[in-house]
Amino acid sequence: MAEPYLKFVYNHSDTDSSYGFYTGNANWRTITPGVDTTIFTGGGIDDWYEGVSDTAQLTLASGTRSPTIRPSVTSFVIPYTFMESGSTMYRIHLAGHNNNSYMFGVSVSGTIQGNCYLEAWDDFTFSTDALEVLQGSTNSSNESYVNAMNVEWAKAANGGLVPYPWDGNTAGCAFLRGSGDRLGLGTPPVTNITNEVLFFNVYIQLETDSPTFHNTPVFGFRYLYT
Amino acid sequence: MDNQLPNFSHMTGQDGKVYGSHNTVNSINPYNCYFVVRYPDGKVVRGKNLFDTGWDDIKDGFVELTYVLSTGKIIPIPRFKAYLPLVECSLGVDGSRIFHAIQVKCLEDTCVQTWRIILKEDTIDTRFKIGDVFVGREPLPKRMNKSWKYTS
Repeated sequence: MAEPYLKFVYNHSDTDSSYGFYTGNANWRTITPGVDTTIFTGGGIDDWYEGVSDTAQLTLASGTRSPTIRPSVTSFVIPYTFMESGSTMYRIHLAGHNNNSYMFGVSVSGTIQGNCYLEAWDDFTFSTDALEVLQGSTNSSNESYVNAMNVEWAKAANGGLVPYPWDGNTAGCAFLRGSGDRLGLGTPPVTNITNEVLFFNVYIQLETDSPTFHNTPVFGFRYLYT
Repeated sequence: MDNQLPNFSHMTGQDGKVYGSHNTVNSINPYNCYFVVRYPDGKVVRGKNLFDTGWDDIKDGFVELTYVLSTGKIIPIPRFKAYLPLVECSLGVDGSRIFHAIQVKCLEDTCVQTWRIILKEDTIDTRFKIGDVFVGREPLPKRMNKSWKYTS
């Protein structure tokens, strides 16, 4: 078989409904590789988001950013997730630390032998993981600040419900850092993945001892094929 | 469904040099890496490349399996009862891509021997060079899928 074709999609609505492999979903948009960028932002003083209505179709002008303030106590999840595409940033409403099911997906056309792994790296060499957001700090138990959930796996391990609260330690979840800490996107036991959409959620949680950083890690998908 | 293969981004040329923020990775050229099998009657069948390997079109009954890398290195795989070669690849949401290795699973009576052919090398982790082969073992699979090809 040839290499499987992976299409990345996200839900740009507040309707928690899935994306069908054959049927798609009008509420979902396709990520254009090399053009679109996932943005985690918000949570600062005089946040641009304050006062903006929380509508499902919210978009912002490209380049809009708001620094997130490091928390003085406990921890803080960067509150807003967008997909920057051309001149527009599209809100991914359902992404984040919540019990939603359908926000990010990867549509696998063809066959992956074994599992498909979601990984986070410094850059497109897929070889180093030195960025602050991936290294974490003492208060994150030296785990990455990037928490990810395989939604279907987590539901299967939690009586059919999306677990909440959740972090990288929850069943079906992982802290993302290189290939050592990564998330299998198939629901175990996985023999192969064929013509299927895999759903996942991601959030970034800052700690009181977070360094100051502006990082641009790369999310990558590792897989095997014949 | 659009079946167009993603672009092989961020490669500078045939040597496939990828410049990162900390590291420089040198990769094989995936368009010029392929397998060759030889049958008892002398017939030789060549695979295509790493995007579309052509492995599933191969018929059982061959007697020899060899890999040819774009560097010119030729890696003969010893004879086993059956083979399942798997390409290990990473695809970034930004469209970038790296080929890590070819994992050739080789069937023995009591286990599977894995021949891992390295397809990239970098300036930080210098333990691995393109064309290096690492051999390991793993348990027999519970099921053999149709991509396993048997020798004669």
